Amino acid sequence: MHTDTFPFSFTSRLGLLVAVLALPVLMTACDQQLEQEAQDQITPESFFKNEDEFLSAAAAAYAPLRSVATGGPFDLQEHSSDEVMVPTRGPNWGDNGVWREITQHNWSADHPFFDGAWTTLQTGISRTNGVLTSLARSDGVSEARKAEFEAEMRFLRAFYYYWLMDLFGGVPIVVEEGSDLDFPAQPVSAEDPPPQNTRKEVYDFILSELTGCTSENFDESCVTSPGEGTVLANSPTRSGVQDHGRARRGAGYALLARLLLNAEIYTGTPTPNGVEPGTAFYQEASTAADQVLNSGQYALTDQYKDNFAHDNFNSSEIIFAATFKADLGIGNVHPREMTHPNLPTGVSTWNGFTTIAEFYRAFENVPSNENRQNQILAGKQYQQPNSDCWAGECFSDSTSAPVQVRGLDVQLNLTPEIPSIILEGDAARLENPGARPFKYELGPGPRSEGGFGNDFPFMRLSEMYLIKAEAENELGNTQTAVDFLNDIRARSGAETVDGVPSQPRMRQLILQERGFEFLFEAVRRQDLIRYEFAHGGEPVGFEESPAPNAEVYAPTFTGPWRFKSNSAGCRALFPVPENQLATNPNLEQNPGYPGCGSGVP
Amino acid sequence: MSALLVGLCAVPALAQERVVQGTVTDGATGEPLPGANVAVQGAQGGTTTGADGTYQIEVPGTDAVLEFSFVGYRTRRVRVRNRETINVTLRERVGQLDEVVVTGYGAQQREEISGAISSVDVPAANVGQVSSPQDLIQGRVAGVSIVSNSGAPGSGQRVRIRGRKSLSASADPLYVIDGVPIGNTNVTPSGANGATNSSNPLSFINPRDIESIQVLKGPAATAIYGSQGSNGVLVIETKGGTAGRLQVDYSGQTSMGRPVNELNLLTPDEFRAAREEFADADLPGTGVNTDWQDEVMRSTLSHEHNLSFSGSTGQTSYRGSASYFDQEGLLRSTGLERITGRINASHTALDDRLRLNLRLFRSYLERNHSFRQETGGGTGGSVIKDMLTFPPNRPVQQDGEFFEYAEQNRNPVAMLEQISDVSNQNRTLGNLDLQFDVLDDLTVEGTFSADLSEGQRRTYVPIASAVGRDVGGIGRQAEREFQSFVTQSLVTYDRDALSLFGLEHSVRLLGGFEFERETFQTIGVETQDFVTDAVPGFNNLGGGSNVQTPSSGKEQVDQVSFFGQFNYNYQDKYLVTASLRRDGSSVFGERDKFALFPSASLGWNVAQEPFLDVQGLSQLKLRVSGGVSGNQGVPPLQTLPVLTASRGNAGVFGADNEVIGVAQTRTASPGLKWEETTELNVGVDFTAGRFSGTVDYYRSQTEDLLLNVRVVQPAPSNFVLDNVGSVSNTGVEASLEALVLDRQDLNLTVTANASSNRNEVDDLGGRGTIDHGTVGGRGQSGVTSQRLEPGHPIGSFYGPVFVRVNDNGEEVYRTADGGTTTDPGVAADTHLGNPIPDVAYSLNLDFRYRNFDLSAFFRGEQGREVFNNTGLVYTSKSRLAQGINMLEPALDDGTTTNHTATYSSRWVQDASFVRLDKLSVGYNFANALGNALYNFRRARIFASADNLFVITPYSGYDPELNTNTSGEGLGFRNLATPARGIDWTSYPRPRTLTLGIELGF
Repeated sequence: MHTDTFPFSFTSRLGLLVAVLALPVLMTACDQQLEQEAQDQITPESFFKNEDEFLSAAAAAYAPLRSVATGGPFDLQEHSSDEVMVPTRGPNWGDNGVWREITQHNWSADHPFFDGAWTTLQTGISRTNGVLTSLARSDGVSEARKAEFEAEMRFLRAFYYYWLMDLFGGVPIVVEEGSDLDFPAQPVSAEDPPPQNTRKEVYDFILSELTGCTSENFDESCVTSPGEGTVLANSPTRSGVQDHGRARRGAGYALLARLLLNAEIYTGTPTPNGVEPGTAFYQEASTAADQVLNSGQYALTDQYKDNFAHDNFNSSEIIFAATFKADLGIGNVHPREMTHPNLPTGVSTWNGFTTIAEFYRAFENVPSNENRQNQILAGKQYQQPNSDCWAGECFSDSTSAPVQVRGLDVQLNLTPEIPSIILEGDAARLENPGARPFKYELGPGPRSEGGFGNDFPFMRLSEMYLIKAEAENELGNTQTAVDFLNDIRARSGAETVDGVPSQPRMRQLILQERGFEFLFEAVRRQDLIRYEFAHGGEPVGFEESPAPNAEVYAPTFTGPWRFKSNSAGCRALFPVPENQLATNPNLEQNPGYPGCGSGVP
Repeated sequence: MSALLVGLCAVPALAQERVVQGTVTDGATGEPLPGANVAVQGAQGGTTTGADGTYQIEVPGTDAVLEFSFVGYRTRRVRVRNRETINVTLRERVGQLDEVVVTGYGAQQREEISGAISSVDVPAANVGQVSSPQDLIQGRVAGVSIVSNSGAPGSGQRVRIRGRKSLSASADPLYVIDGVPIGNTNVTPSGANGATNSSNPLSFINPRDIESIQVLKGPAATAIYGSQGSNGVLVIETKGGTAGRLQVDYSGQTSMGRPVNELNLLTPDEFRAAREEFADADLPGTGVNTDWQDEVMRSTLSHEHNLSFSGSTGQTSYRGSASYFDQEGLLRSTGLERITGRINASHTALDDRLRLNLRLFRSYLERNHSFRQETGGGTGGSVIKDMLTFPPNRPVQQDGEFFEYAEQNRNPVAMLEQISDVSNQNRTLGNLDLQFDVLDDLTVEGTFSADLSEGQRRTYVPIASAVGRDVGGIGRQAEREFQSFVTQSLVTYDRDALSLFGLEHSVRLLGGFEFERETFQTIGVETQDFVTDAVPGFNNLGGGSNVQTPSSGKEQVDQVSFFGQFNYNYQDKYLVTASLRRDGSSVFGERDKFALFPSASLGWNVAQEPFLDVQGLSQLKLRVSGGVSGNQGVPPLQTLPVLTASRGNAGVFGADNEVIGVAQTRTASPGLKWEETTELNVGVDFTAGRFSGTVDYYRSQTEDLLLNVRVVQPAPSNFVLDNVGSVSNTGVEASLEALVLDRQDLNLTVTANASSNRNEVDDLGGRGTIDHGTVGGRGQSGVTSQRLEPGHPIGSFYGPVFVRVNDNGEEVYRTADGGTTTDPGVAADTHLGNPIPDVAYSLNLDFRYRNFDLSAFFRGEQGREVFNNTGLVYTSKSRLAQGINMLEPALDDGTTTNHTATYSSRWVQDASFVRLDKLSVGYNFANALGNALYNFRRARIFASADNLFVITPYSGYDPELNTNTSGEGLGFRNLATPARGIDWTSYPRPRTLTLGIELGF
């Protein structure tokens, strides 16, 4: 550059100044005023345009069901009962005592499972509310499909509220923005937190969503002809296997039957000593179960185990389920929780959950009941078979090589007896104890670290049989009750009940039967509480820990069992999580907390 | 751009040759200085002062810069402007008072500065094994704490200036290289099996290319960086061209490293005896003796070569450099390789009125990771954990194959040798800078810069390995890309001698604009179930039949800033600086997009006053400054209710109908704004004879902390990001430099630093307390070791107080009423100490005798605690029952084999330390024989030992490592509340011996 040959005027200096300064400004001006552009996420304005997009939003509203089935809500329902526990195995499963506290009814409101369960269920509610709001505003879906979608989402919301109500009692009812219902709508804020409803109010809300009736005016007509615009009126009927995993009318009736069966508890008054029972709706419960039984859309499977197969979406018996898919990374982790790490499953497993010996032996109270006892893994473990086998059938081929305890030349031998809740000693003593409620079929792949593909049934047709049995027994129709009970026994190959037992005896048999039939299906705590506080409030169980070969196995929720002594009646409700009390000042703690008597022996 | 070029071409130069004269005097005594050098910067030749200290020199124009230098005195540069007489005082070179301090948007003479800024003595620090710029700073600047996350080559380092000010947003300082703020995002993707490896964002820079490092600590210094300044600023300048003929420099060195110490594990014989005594089951695999620490760790060999050339021709000066660095890690098969290249070129035109600077830099970095996480736990387990627990009576290999026996305890040698887990990073940093003097005192400057970095990670777990066997091998490739574009415009008015009211004032005004766009993208693909190990699966992902869920994402943040600064200086006696910055960032809510960050500082050099006439006291400067700066390290889109599509939320309907789920998974926080730090700083600088020093006191309060708080349910998520809570930091920093010996052939300089920072959480916005600092190890789920609580520092350890082991072999803890219990659930939890040292200090001795030089650098911290998570989990006889190894102290600590490892004060240990960080000896040939014989400009050989010894009561590998990073620095604007001071199966640091040579032609 021959600098001395160019003129250097003031204007050219100024020009350069402007040029240097203007460039970045010009570049910036091309941008909007620091607007955020979503690069890998979607803004609500650009979504909810058609049915497929709604289905995607609905899918996400279903997604928390997987956490209900395998996370906090499941753990609370099962580990607080006699059905499932996990002993502390040396350095494993101590986890700051969280498991032992649930097993021994020694929890307090800051237990991490409570907050986890609460928020899992609230997430489900928030998502269904979101879909409902967008649905009402959208013109991308026909009115008829809109009504079906809406019924599906309202069922789902009712299902999440049912779980909250069952575990925690009274919670705030919050509905979708734009709803006609007289409840606070989302979004809720810290400035105006939603008020807490009572357990009965939540119960009535759910009944009303399903049928249009509440416990104040409920009768059989609410079941047989649900009100206009309700979930039951608008839900499509199940059209085949393609509807598996979605809420159809059968699911609505099955939930209704369960809600009515437990009506005495849910409309009752929680007290520090338990639950003062409220209104009973056994006739209505029986009618609701009939709606499913007679719908022609569901049938008991030939084999009990078909309901837990790797492809159990084919089961004609499953009414509503949390659905899993191993290769999507959304697998069912339950088989991992129960399986010993040395078992050749192809997936790393955690060697944890067991049942207690009393529960395992109780199957033997009924002759020819091995079929269902076999869903629990026990005894010496072998390498084969490790695929295409169901629960106890797996790892049972004694001609194959034994499975060794880790680090020892000792064969793994799962023993139903658990010496103590905190196990001690060498690897074998830490890893052998406890029969494992394995439950599921170990299918042929794919298996991923995410878990297994077996779906988790929330409601099966066999439950409708046992609801019939229980309701009819309460209505005095003991013979009918025995028939329905025997249908279930017969399907699994177990010996049926001869003659007609007394009503109280029948109650014990039904509770025991539900234990066999719904092992690990997240209803045990609910059953134990109902049998302790409903049905006229007479405990059905026995006072002391059952002998291994007691004729009928029917403990009570606050009563003693292995590792647990009598606990206070307030344990029939879990406390409102401490974190939630701190976040929403409108929430009040449940009766008896803190200071509710624990069951630590 | 074309308009600009046309504009450039239209600009001529006006040569204004003239003569300048004046006197050079000693600043302390006022005596004239004979023999001082006076030269025009960038030109050949020059003159010297006469016996009366006067000089006369011809200068090319008013814009010329005169350089006054004299042995033992600090060089001074003065722009000529319109003056014909320039009288200069030179001050003795003592202490850190280097000449020019680059403060980001400009440069100032040290004595003009009234804020808190520390300079690093780069040449002194740049010896021995220096693998990243942080190594130059560690311990050498009071108030800066640097802790390595791991001893793995290239792993992350946590840099904290004046304490942690944020709970969940980034607490890293802003890095400014050659005037441009650069991104600090880790582009090393996480490995298969979830292994995350922290990475040092600065490890791409060759420390040998660094000219200077300034640490902006105080509010007045950092406020000019506004929303990015609250964590402090590190301003790094790279070396530019040298004046005159071509200079070529080479330096090369080789380092040998060894483990400093080993953990006290049971020997094979002790293990067998202990098994017999405490666990009664048969012991399988007896008869073999393996020391797993010996098998896994090795002596390392590293080498480094640097070649640079620089010079100038006419109006252009240049420097080019290339380097190669190869560092082996202590763990077998781990290591780092780095290749860098840099070109800095400057051109002046139009009679020096137009200055163009181009800096272009590219580096390639390759790291060999251990597939299992190098430190910490994680679902994949850690190779160090395997090393500590693998039974010593089991062989490394059996029948030619690696010995394996259980899934949760892998053979660590096999894991290191069989599995390939390599990451590489490419970074290109370029900036083009135009400066133009529109008027004599008015300069406009435009800078355009791009920072492009990308990292790949390739992992293959072969079918033959125990981990890959069950799934048929795992092949994975992941990539991250980070881009940052910055444009700056600056206008500077700089008037040295402004006559007003009959007095001469020096005034500098700066106005500027900056725009920055950051983009971060990721992608990751993994397949499993390969047919063969013949080809590493990541090179043919299609060869795996089991495709895992792929992932990708993109995020973007825009920021605009306007800023101004005013400097006033009256005869170096009264100093005033004020600045104001207005920042806007896209990540914040509509109402709070923009915020103002003001600052002001005052300085008074009392020594210049006539009333203070103390012999030898050449400087006594009192400084006071205050200002507001911010932190905006918040992920984008937090303010909007956005929906995310994911497989995790998928619906699985029917037989095989998968519907991807779309949901709002985050609660929007529309009112989100900046974290704001208000800081006050008071300081003194003094120079008296051979001593100089600085003392600073500061107090800062950070408010509107970005923190995840619980949301009233139902809501899309449990937490929402909000501005709540506050944290304060108070501290004192002192540094002292003394020229202890100053003879003809012999001198000794001693530099000492000390600092103390008190950190306290003031408020958590209604959250009460927050537990964090997850305890690692099986059976520890849900156990945390630290609690954030108002009145206590960040990182305060919290748990039961351990009293003793009772006769039943149970641990006994203190209860609330002063009694004791064996149930940790009943014990009273309390604060157990914290990892922030009461005092951090360092001492550097620099000794020169003729051509020899020797320096020793000591560093220490007093009054700090570390949670020895490794000790907690592996000091337990229950390990024996499981057939795995344990730490020797468990043999006679009184506990039984039923002992469950329980977190308590027993494992929160005093980790005060003193370390001889560096000891180096060198010999300079230049004057002895080099010049005459070999025509070397300079020649030096040196030997240096790093990490020579550490004195500490702490029983783990190293009192200084921090392994629990909990998501910190793992991606773009990650939010996390990381733990500090947790030692969980840490990767140890080696002791290294380095031999090297430096040659200049």
